[in-house]
Amino acid sequence: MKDKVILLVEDNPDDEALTLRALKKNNITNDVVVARDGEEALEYLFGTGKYAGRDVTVMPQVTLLDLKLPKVDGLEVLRQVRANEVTKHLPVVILTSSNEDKDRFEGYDLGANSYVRKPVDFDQFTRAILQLGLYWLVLNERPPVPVKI
Amino acid sequence: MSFKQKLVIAFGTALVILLWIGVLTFRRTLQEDEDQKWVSHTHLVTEKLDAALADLVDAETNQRGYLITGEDSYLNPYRSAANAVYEDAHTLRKLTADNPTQQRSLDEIEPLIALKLAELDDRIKIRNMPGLGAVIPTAIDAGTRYMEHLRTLISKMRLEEQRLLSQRMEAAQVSSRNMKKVLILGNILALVFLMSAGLVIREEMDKRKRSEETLRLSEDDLEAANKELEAFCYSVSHDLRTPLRGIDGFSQALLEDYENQLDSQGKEYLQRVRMNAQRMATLIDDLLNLSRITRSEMRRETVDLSLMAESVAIDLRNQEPERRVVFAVAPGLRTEADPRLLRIVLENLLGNSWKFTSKREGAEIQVGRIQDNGRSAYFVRDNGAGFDPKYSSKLFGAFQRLHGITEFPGTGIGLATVQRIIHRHGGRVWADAELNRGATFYFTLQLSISDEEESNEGQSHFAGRRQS
Repeated sequence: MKDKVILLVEDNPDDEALTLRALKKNNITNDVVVARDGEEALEYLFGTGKYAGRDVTVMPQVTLLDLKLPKVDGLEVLRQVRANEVTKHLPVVILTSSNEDKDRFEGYDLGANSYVRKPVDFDQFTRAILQLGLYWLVLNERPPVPVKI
Repeated sequence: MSFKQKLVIAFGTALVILLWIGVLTFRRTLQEDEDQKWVSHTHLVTEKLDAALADLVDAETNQRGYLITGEDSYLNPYRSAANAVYEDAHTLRKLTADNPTQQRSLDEIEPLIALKLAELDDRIKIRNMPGLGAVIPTAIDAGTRYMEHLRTLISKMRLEEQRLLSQRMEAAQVSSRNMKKVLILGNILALVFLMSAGLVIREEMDKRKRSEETLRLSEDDLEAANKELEAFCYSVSHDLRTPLRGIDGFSQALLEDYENQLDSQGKEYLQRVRMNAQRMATLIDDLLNLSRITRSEMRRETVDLSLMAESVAIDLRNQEPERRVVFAVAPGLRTEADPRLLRIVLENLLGNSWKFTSKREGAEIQVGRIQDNGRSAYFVRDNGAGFDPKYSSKLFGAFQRLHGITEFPGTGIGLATVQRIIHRHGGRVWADAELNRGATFYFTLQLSISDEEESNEGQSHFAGRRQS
């Protein structure tokens, strides 16, 4: 399970810290790559910009995607991930504060695998992270990653 | 004056004028026929006058023929001419019955005819008596005088008739000239009114076009305002919750990581910080739900309110399985409502009843229907804490609470939500309560249609839907 990378797309440092804390508390010790905006997330996934030359055969086991992000927002990240041959099957979990119907519809329309609303209560948040970790890192079988882009 | 009034006046006046012209024209036609009749009448009278004179002359001529020759062949034409004269006089009297002047002339003519014919007859009788030829000259003198007098009178009647005719023709010409003026003037007037009606219509069309434009603009404004509201709600749901999660999360981190450095009071304070953060999160969610109820689309369909209430009751029992509460739901309460919104109403009302009976032994919650001013009102009744009726006006305001937060939890948004949903259905919600003796909340779901009929119809709808 150690080699399975988690991509956390989160612009708020508090939420980032709390998510990392919740992962740690649940003994989920996988590598976590943090992208602080949508552009950075896309650069990581496609091995461009800041992540040029990255070994793109290593793909995240799950991407935790916030919706409200600087530069490129979460829904646009999802759109581009699904539009790309290599990344189109990657599991993407929307993890956001919003529970607007519009966001949920659009998220699922664009092919999100799951939609989770971040609870304010940290105990609940920790439980949510535990369940996400158990499901996406342990139970769920990710599709094979193509060798070449 | 309104557009309609202006239009009615303009069109109405034009119509009246045109009708008036029509009536005048018709009357003028009748008048022309009448005039024509008078012309013929004059000709007839004149002819008869001429005939009378001719017949007189004829009678005289034949009489003379007889007097001179003594041949009987003159007698018959003489008699028939004399009879014709009487007939002519009789016809003339009838023809000129309406004219006193002519009648007076006839009054003179008729005795003269009688005298003249008598004189002619006398002469024939004398002729037939032998040896009386000497009387003849004087008699002839008298006959000639009668004849002259008759000629004068007949020609006077002719003149009178001609005078009448020319008088009538002149009157006809004058009325024909007046008629032309009236026709021209009337048509111009009608045209003016029709044109002004046209102007009124055009003015109104311009006005409507402008209002449509204004309406379109305000629709744009409304849409913009709605977009703004949505952006605001989005912001509230996303941005306001994020810092709360920080407050709660890091308080918890403090409690866990620095447990040894905090005394019990420090820990309690941190717990309070967390509680408040969570409470605020609930408030934000409730507020968002309330705004969503106003924004969401509403679709009425047949709903089994009884089944829905039972299902809400099951949810409540599952949340607190240790509580013993009697639910009494009247069966078969069918109505037309938005099922999603109606469920929120029941969740709030039953949830309140559940909450406010929590300190009561033998808690009981009823759901049923009563008739209120001819329409169906549904109710949720409990025997819980109730409230003082003097505060009932405050019940439905957002964030209004009648109980302390420690006594019964809640944000005070539930009944505001209920009221908003009921109002969207065109219904009414009200409450009846006594402190410590329970509360009853009533609501209607439409303005005035009887639910009994709806219910019957609803049943068939329901069955139809289940089959499909």
